[in-house]
Amino acid sequence: MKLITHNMLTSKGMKNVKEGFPLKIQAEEMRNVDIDYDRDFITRMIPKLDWKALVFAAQCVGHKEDLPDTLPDGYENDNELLKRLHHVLLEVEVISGCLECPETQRKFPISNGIPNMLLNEDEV
Amino acid sequence: MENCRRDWNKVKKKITRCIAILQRDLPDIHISEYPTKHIFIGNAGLTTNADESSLVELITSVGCGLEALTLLPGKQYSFASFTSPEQARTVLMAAHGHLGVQGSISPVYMAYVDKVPMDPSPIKFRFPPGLSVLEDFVSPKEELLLMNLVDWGASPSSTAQGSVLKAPRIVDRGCMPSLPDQLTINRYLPGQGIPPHVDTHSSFTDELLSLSLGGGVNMDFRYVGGSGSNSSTIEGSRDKPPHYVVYLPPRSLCVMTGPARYEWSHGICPRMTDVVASRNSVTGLQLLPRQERISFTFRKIRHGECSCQNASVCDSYGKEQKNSSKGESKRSTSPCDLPNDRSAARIEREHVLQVYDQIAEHFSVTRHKPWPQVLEFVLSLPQGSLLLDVGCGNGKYMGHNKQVFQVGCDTSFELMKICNNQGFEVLTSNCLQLPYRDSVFDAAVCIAVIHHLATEKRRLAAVREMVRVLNVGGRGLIYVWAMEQRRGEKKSTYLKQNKEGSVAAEMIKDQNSEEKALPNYHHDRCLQKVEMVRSGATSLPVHVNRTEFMQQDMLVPWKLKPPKKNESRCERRRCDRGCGMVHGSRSNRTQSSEPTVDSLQITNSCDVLASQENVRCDNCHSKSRKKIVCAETRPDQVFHS
Repeated sequence: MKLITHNMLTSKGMKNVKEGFPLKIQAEEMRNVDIDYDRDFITRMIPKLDWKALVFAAQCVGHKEDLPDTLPDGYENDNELLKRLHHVLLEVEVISGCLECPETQRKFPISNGIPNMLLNEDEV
Repeated sequence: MENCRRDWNKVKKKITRCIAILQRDLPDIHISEYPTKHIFIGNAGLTTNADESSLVELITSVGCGLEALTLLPGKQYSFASFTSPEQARTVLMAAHGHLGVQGSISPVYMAYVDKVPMDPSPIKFRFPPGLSVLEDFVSPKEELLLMNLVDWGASPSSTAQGSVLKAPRIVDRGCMPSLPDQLTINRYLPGQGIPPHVDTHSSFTDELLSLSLGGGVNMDFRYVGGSGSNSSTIEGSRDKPPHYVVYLPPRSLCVMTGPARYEWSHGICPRMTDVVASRNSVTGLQLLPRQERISFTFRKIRHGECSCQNASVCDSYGKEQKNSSKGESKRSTSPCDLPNDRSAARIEREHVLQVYDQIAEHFSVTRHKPWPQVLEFVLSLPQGSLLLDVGCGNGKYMGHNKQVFQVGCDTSFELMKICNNQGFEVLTSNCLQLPYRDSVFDAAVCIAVIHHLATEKRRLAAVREMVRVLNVGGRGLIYVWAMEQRRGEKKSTYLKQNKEGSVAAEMIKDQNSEEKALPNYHHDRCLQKVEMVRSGATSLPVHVNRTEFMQQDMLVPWKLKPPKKNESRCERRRCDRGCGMVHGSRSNRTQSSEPTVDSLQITNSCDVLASQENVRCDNCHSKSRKKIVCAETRPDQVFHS
């Protein structure tokens, strides 16, 4: 699971969960993959992100120092920042561990890099 | 003289024997020495192949004043009632021992009786409640125009114009609240009919309209049960439900609504003539030879289940009951409460989710060629788009557009492993609870997924969930299997891959042949006989691959190769129904929701999409999805299709 994916995930499908966002990452195994840097792509991705959640995710997996707490103005011209973002968003992957719902502490296991977001019948 | 006396003795002997039978059967009916209004006809009845029309023909040839005929099922005799004893006498004198009904070599034997049996099945020219017949609905000129629209020798193609012509008038005259969207054209030659039936409640809305062209016909209406609220007004005993005959003259429009549509069956008796009530004729009845009749039947496809709650006749009602768990009380008011959903979830788990985990590897090998329209959609997305593939399977549509970020989800962990190995970003989740934020995706595709869901409610919920995660202006693409695998005369590719010839023969061949002998796309064949598989709350038929779908809900078999023991698995699918349609209604509606092209669910979902006005649904469908139903000799088949 990449952090860009994490940025979209929520556990709000569960009953009695309002936001379910952001999910807390407990990583056991991580991996770095090489992805071609595409500045244009990253620039376009940024407005779609929830920055706070991304910082939180980066913190969970030990990449806090790569990102500023708030998205600075003029980021589209900050090539260094864009490169770090590229790395955090696309190249860092959680292979195993779990995601935790912030409201119910329900844990969603990650194995083979695949989060299991299936809910039980009594959870919906 | 001698001869004549001997004949008369014979006649007397015969009628005596007939009377003996009558007295044994119906001791309440007494023979009268003197003329009465009622005549017993001892040797002409339903078991001797006499019917209403042949008896009317005989009687009206020698007399008049016939009021009613009474034929008893399983009996060789019948009764005729006249307005006066004199009229009865005229007929008896002329026919008794002298004349026979058509097709019989012996003459009829008659006697006066004091009464006829109570209400067996006299011809009752009455309308069931909710039925009306609008005479001269079209002019003779229009009739000719409409009849010529269909060339019965060639493929029926140009019917659409006819419906354009008719549809607005139907609404203007209040026959239907809105334009119909389905038209069935039947041709009945003299001697042809259609078995009694009630049009499936869940398939069509209340109003059914039948326009008669060319010839008139007697339509038989039989009460088949229902609420019983108006049973007091309906004649007939408990074991003999009422049976009314309604004559539909040419150029008339028959409108069935309410009880006539839901609680009465309608049918046409296959015969050459009709006995009709005549206003002019002194006999009161008239014999009309049948002529070629072409009927235009207009209906409107129902979206959703029928709400009539009429347990004995409604398929929707039965469905709800069946889906409920055993312990559920019948009084349960909401048909959509939990037990339904639970059993639906169970069916999906058993017949879809578990199956895919088992067949994942093989499934993946056979699913490599993306459907071009889906690929086109994926490639059309602008750079930097976020794309979700709901039910992504082995990731067939992932990784094609390098400029977008694509994620996928599916319930099968095994399939997700296959995706993950190819570097696709996926997770496991159910399409009913997508684990994504609201309005986050620019586009979403959902290909051949929603048909796995067991109820319409769940199918709609899946579409709503997809809409939820799409952002304003986002685009969605949904494909489902179509029930109809033909468009007009053309078979879909799916059917074509079943080579011409008998299915059974190919079944055997396929099972025995080596894998390498078969093209790839044949991998998924498991040619079994169609059988019912019982599972929990439902039993579903198993589909034979590459044949037409028998019904909307089917188990589709999957055969693993190389075959392992008992490894045939079935997945559950619902094939959506393309609507038969009226082009008139199509052109009147907006293009946005494309109501006529699609199936129930997709049309509904498009309403959902359209109402939110934030997505454009690229509304597609696999394979053939349109049809105009035209039947010539077997109209009964299409009525229930």
